[in-house]
Amino acid sequence: MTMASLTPEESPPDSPRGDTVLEVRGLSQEFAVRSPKGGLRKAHVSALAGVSFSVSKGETFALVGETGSGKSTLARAIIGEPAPKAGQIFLNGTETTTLRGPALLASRRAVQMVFQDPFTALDPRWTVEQLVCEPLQVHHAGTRREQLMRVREILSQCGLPPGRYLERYPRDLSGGECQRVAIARALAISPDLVICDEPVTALDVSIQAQILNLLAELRDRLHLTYLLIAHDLTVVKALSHRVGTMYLGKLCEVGGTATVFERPAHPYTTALLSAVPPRPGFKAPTEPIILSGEVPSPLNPPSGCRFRTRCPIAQPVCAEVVPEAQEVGRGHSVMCHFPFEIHDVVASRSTAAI
Amino acid sequence: MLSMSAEIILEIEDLEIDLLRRGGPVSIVRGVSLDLHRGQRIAILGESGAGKSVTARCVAGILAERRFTVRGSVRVEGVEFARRTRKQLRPHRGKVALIFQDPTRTLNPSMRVGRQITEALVHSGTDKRAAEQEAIELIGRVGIADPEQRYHNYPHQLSGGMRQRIVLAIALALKPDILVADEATTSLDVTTQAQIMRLLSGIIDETGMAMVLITHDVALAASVADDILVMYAGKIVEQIPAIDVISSGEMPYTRALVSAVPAMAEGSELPVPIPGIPPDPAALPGGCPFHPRCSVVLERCHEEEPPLLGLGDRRAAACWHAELRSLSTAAAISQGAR
Repeated sequence: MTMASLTPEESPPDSPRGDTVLEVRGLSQEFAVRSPKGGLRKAHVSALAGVSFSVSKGETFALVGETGSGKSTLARAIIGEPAPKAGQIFLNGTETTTLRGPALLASRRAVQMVFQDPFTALDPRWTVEQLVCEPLQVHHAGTRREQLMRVREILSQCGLPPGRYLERYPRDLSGGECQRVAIARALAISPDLVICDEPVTALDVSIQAQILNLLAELRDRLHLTYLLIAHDLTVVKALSHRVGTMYLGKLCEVGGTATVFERPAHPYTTALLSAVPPRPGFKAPTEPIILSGEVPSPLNPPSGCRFRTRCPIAQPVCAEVVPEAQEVGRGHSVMCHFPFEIHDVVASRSTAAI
Repeated sequence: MLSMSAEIILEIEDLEIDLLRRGGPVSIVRGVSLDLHRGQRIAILGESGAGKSVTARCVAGILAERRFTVRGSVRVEGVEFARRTRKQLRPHRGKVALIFQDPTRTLNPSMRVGRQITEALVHSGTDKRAAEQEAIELIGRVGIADPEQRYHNYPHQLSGGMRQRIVLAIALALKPDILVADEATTSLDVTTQAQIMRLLSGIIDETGMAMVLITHDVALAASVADDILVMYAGKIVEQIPAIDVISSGEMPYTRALVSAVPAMAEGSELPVPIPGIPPDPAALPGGCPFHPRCSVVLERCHEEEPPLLGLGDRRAAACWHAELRSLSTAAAISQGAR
């Protein structure tokens, strides 16, 4: 497999760098659940609370965070399933949250998804050809003949020689091959944005590497734009230009992947990075910070900064004032009252231990 | 770190396991031998289908006897586990505890978690009335806050990380000598994984239990285990101290596994995939089973399967290159080949 070249060193996101494919402004999502106290009262889970970011053409933007941080909810809100409670989503400059009918269908063509488990994402009774052709049929893209040509083209781009794969069923394929079919299906109608939700989590290491290379190669060749959701930070490091850390429905840090991974400003990002087992050539930015406890319930998120209950450097102000996003570097913004201070605390702790 | 004088509690000798399927038996474990000492942590590393999990299940004595035939010997504290029926093994089974990847499928969804722990405690001989108190202590010990409250919860009321902690508490209730963790943290967040691994190391230091970690994550194996065994196509192809695995694997397969891990190094580089897919155990290629995917194939690799060759210093490798190198005195080339 050819190695796709990467140019991760970000031109800062605030500089004009071609078109913005996706812009999200103040997105909030709530779900009604039965009150944990019982009775008929409804409680609301605040799954996303005012998330804003944008993704430019050709860029890969990654979302990281623990389970329950709202990464997948955000992805689903972008495709409108279900539609967000508040906020705006712009695709290629058009607001999609207000679209209805044929315009909505057309806008959906612009965003496609690749999911975690390729076996459950593919209908077991359909052949590879039918699976990859379906999006083309749904969106009436070209004549039947053109559609079949397109299926062959995209399959071979995804590393599946059409002659050998067209007539096969998902059960005849390995996990890696299934994921390639799922990627081909997402790319068939040339979307503007591809949302990859944990695209390699369910795969074996060696296959993971194959799929990551394929995604990078396709991105460079077809100028694709990815919104990557992953909890494995090494995957994020390998594939993304910019990264956003999510915690309890808030986007608490956004910046260039290299910048953020080298010197994270938010204590949560720092803790996430420090939890990665040592890899070849990787040194965590700090000593391991083992976060105590679990992510608090989004039914009743902590006041002020949502991370304060697990934050090693929380101060009284964190309980009272919700931190606003502040710029701490070029294209690097963070929602924290004490950006970068975690590094001093960890450093002094480890010197004190000597 | 282990001392080699520690008592051996698990001894596997020439273990061979065949899966019985229509069309004849398929050999999925092809001659595995290993010794595990008290307090030792080993990791078995390899891709899906290498035979890791089947070996683990055989050690735990839960292999379905109708679907597998077993040859060779698996002795846990001197008790033979291979070729025994599940019923014969019942009195010994608590010696080996097994934790799986998905805690949701391990726990009984309709039973309060506390009861599931006391069940294991009673099995290992605790008095029924004392069991509840001990279960609450165990819940606290695996790092769950408010153990009294959690005792009465059902699995669905707990988060994934907490469920895996409960599974761990059940495993510990049996007071096992060997804990086998089969991809036990794979589905968890990195932060939770770090918490659980730290907890496990603490418990191992405290109790002298031995651990077998089964994983495909090289980095995790390197950070948790003392020694790593790499499995490929049903055989151990390399044995190496964990601290050396990232830098100086002998076998090309081990090095390929390391390069397939996305690195966190300066300037992001994509991981290097291992070409091809793991071989079908029913149709292994002749010679070294890794040769179709290997980047440094010799003539001999096509024809003859290399034996596992001891290299000293707790190291062994099944590779013709390793043999060539150990024959030649020039140690300088040992890092080469790439």
